[in-house]
Amino acid sequence: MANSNSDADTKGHLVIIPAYNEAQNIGEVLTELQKYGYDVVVVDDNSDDNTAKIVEQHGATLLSHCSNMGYGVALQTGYHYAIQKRYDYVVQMDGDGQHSPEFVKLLFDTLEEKQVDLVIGNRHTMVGSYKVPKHRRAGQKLFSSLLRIFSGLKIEDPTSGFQALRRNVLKFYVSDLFPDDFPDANILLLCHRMGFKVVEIPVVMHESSGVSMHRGFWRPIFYVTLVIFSILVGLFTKLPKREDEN
Amino acid sequence: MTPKQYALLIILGLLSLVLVTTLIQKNRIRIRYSILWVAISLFFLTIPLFVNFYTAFGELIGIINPISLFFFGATIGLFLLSLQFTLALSVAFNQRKATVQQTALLEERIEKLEKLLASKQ
Repeated sequence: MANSNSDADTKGHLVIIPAYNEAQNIGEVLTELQKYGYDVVVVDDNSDDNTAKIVEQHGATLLSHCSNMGYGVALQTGYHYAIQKRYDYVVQMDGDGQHSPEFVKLLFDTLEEKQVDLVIGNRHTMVGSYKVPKHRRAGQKLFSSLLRIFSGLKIEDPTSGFQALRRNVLKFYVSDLFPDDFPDANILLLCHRMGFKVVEIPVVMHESSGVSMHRGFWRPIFYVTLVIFSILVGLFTKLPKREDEN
Repeated sequence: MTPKQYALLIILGLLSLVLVTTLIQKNRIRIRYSILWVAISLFFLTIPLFVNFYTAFGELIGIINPISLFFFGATIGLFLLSLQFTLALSVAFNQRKATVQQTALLEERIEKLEKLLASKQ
């Protein structure tokens, strides 16, 4: 893995992978990513299995949480790392094999060529993606509609965690406003209100092999309610001034 | 209020005072939170002393029975207490989050520095 950047003055591309008990899949994901030569940081959210060991064996940078904090906090640790090491472009992806490493380059390229701040990988338009269960698709459509109503943003896959971000977005994401409980469609609304340019590109996603956090009957209902509430809160949240506008 | 109700309040106040004091002694409860519970315990103990005041106050806000006033006050008190603890919990979570993130970042830097030192030796 090409973790060659020194702490002094580095600029470049970084892939952030939050991981919790991903020993089964993380090795394959890292092996795939090695082909592209990007710097990779894996944030191990206090896994019980040997995720950390596998990450170290693959030569990727490992950040280990000393207690389990959840997906959002793990992501934010990665953002802190990217800011600290002065990365300009970041792609975040899951470590369970759901996100195809072959699309990482496309996400980075779109970020740079289209001069946008945030690129979202949309799993719904490209042939080859797994079929999203109907109830989850309904939730995604609901979030998508709410985003369109409240911001005018036309995002078909607002729950996609496969995203590319520019440094100015990272600076916003390390603030206290980042909804680390459920960084979902609500964060896109905040990004829009911050004036960040958001685009969506088609990517292929595979079905996650792990146990879904949205399993059961009440969990998804609770989650959808929380995200809707969070979107509504996002309409009134007082936002900071963008640093790159100073 | 009947003598039995007075006795019940005093016993309740004494029990909670003993419980809070024990928790403070064992360092199981932070002083800043314990003060609140000591105040609540003392409030229970002093209710019999100010019954006339509470009765008059109850009548003023349309509550005739002092026991109803007690439950009304307790409900509002518990609501405020829950809000205060939710706030404290949120602050504590954010602080824990910052600590965990900082630890992870520092650990990575230390490991890198250790490797660098080892390679130079």
